[in-house]
Amino acid sequence: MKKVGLYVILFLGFINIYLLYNNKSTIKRLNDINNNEVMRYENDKHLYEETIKEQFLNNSILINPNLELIDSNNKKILIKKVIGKNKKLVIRSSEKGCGMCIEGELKRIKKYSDSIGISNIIIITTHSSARKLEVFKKMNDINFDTYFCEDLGFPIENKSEKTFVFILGNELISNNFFLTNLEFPELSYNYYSSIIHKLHER
Amino acid sequence: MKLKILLSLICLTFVSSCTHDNKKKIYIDDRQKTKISIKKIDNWKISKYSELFDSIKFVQLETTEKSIIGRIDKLINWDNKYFILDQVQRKAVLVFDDNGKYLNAVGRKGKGPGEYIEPNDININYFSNEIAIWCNTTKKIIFYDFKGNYKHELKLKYYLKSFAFFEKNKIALYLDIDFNKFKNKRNLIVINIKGKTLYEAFDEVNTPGPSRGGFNFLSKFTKNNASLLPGYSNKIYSIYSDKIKQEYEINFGNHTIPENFYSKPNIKFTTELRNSDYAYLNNHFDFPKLLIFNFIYKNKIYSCFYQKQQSRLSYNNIWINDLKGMLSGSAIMYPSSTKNELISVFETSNIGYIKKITNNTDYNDEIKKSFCDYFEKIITEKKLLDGLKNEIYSTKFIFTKQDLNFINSINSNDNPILIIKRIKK
Repeated sequence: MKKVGLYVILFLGFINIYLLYNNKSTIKRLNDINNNEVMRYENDKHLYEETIKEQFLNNSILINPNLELIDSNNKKILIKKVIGKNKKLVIRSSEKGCGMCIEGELKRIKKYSDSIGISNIIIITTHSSARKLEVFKKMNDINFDTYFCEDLGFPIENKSEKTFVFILGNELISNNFFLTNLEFPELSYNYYSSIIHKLHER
Repeated sequence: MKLKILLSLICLTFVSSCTHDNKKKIYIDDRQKTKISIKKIDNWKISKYSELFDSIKFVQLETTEKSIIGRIDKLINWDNKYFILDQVQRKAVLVFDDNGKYLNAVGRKGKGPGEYIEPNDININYFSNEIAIWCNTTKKIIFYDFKGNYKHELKLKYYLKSFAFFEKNKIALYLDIDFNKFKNKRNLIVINIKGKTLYEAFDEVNTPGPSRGGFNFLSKFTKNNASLLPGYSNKIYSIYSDKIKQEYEINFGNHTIPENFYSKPNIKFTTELRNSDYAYLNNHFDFPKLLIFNFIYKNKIYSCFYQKQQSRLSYNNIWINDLKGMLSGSAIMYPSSTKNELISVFETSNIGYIKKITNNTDYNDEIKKSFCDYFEKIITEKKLLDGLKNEIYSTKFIFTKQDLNFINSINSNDNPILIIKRIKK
């Protein structure tokens, strides 16, 4: 009987060691998750701060009226002619930017293109040749007017390849600047639904 | 007695189940690494093609509706063919012969067998003569023959940055990508061709930097090993099926990224790095006598040539083609299958500017003038500017009538042109 008791104690001892070990690794795993969450929070916070900052810095930018854009036939055209009388929603994308980001953004814009009006949407990219522009249009099934311009004069162009969107009227001052983000598509949907009436204002 | 045995067995089971992680970890041997020092980095440094190469040839990649390229993200020269990955713009892998004639595409977009959502990396399995495409969305390596016929695919559990084949039937996978964080804590996994893990290495905490885009983390040049350059690092490793050796350490002196910088959140890390005074490696090819690597410093890309026998290093961030027809390609270069040539890419959208110069009768003077005008716009330091100008004026640019005709035949909408440069012996 004594022997059985000893074995039971021994058995419980082993279970104890096992549980202690398991507990340690669980704590380690929880710490890892916690660290990742902290990191994610820090990232989101930084992203939020940067977005707000860029929103302020890039709004109300006066675009040079003599700025030339190049269309998909390699012809030069003044930006003021492209904008004309009606306000346009301008999508600015970079050749070097993330492919999935611009693709995603174009898909989202297309959902609003009927309400905005296809002729009221233009894309200005940094794709530096008609060949690249053709590939870009073909791959993204783009039916908006698309132009090339290396530098529109926005401060953000010098530090980021992110896609951004803004409204441009005939006074050529950027309004409703919006920096897109692949991780937060719902922000884009909110943006497009809220600017529709602004685009149709005269 | 029976109870004793039973209890002992139960205890043994508990003890053996205490092995939390049974994946084999491997020791990294850094005892014989070669140290290369670049403590002072010049903001502008010229290299002439004639200093490093002895001949140049151009390959014009055929432009048709099927073969149109948006951007070359990776190029592999093998079996007298050029395999071109256009990951972002065309989302395609295109094959051209060694004269630039378009042969075929490899795979196609889709979700079925042999199809990819986006081709994220390519590599050649030199042992089975297959081309492999990695698709991150579907997490599979898809194998095709060189004509683009689908052979088979290997489904993996991870998201990858890059992969390489080595030894017979071994694959090195480089993860270093945020999506894996909860699933895998190590960034290098070596598997066999059937997908069985042989070992894992590079704990996330020991791997510098957050994840980033780009290729060539793993580049294979000998049949025995793969070569690894982790992201935002200054170290180059050789990967074998049973060991990892650190081969090189580039000492950037005060420009080395400090350890505590890596703990910053990803977006903050990349933004602050862009504005920092730190340098990091970006690309490398390890030839038997020559190590070629690129590093990034103050948003400029530098090319470096390290001659192993002489322990001699040269670097630059401006290339001048004084050998043939002026066209000089990108700083990122790819090795040829013969291993004595480097291939760079010339983007034809810039051809108008070159045509304008070469159509002038005194084109040699015209080229020099245009280089100096360019430097004057970007360099404010007088001593540096004068030095560069002197170097340009002492250069003789060589053009044959054929070169001039070739330049004039290029259209700004053509596919990129490959510049094949033979390395001096």
